[in-house]
Amino acid sequence: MALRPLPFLRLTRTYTGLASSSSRSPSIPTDATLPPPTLPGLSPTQPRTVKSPLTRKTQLHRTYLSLLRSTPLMIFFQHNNLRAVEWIALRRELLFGLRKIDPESTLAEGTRITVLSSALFAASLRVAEGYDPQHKRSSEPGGSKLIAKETEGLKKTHPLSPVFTAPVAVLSFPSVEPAHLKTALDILFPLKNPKKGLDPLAVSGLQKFVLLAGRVDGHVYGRRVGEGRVMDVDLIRVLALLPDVNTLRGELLAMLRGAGGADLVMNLGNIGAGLTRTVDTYRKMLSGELDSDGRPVEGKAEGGGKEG
Amino acid sequence: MALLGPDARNTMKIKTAVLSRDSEVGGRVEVGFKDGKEIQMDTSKMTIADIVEEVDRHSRGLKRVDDLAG
Repeated sequence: MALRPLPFLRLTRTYTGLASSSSRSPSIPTDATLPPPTLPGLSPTQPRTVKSPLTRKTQLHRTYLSLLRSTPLMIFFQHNNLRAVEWIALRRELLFGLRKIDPESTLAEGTRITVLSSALFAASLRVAEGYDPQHKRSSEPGGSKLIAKETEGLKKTHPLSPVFTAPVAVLSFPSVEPAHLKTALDILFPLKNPKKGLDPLAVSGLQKFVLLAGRVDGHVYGRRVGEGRVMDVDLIRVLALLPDVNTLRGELLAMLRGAGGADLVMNLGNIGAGLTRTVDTYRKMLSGELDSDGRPVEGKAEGGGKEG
Repeated sequence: MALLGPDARNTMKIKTAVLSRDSEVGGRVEVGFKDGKEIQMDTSKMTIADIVEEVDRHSRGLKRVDDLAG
């Protein structure tokens, strides 16, 4: 009698079997996407992965990738032996400080401090910017070797790579708002004295921070997905001093009006108005109100078809 | 920096400055001991172990003096 494999044995072997089955068994075409690995206790909606998704490393890698791809503005800083109470106090001060700017918005809750595992985050950064910038290549069998080969150069050339040699944490913002950035910088990285009224624990905690670098995601500054612009400390401070987008738009409009650009504004507006008139005339022609020369059927003088 | 304990800032004065990306000078560490001796190190070609060794060399002597006196 043939041995029946025990159920738990089959479960543990499913995973490695799936990764290599595409090349061995002729029944499955190689270019078809394989079903996600179904490990016990794992949701079938989890993305396909070659490494075991149950390990801490894989989960961290995924978390960091999603952080990199979804965060428009990140501030990296070094943290040196903070106590737990100091972290708590600093996070609370940050949350309260941001809430004060705009009590209605959820930006304060979305702004988070994440302590990173620096080597793993550097690897995720290389995947996000060097290997899979368009978020299209899923992890392939043997992917980690592919990634290592393709992104070897980034270890030397990427401007953020020297940052990840220390204990690093990241402050991530859900959107680029200079006012929020300025408040966060004032609380966490004051230029001279810490902000007045801070918790003494928070004060002793922020002495152990060193602001290192920032990263603005590509889709914010140039509509380019999968790359980020790295800022050094001075540039971050400059960014924090900028007014917000609506103020800048208003200023541009006022400047155009003031500097004799009123014609320009009018001309820009005219394009839309002209197009509307042309289309409207065409509609009238079709519905029989005007004849083919754009003259009213009744014979009234009206130049409807001039524009365009 | 990460080698300093969580209470290090209560007992000594620590000042850090981050150099900008295109800065010409390399890193530098200056240590002032409590007996007034000062050490300056150019860290552009040193590892962290070298720095610790340099600093420890003098502080070991200080510690011995303290132990003998106390």
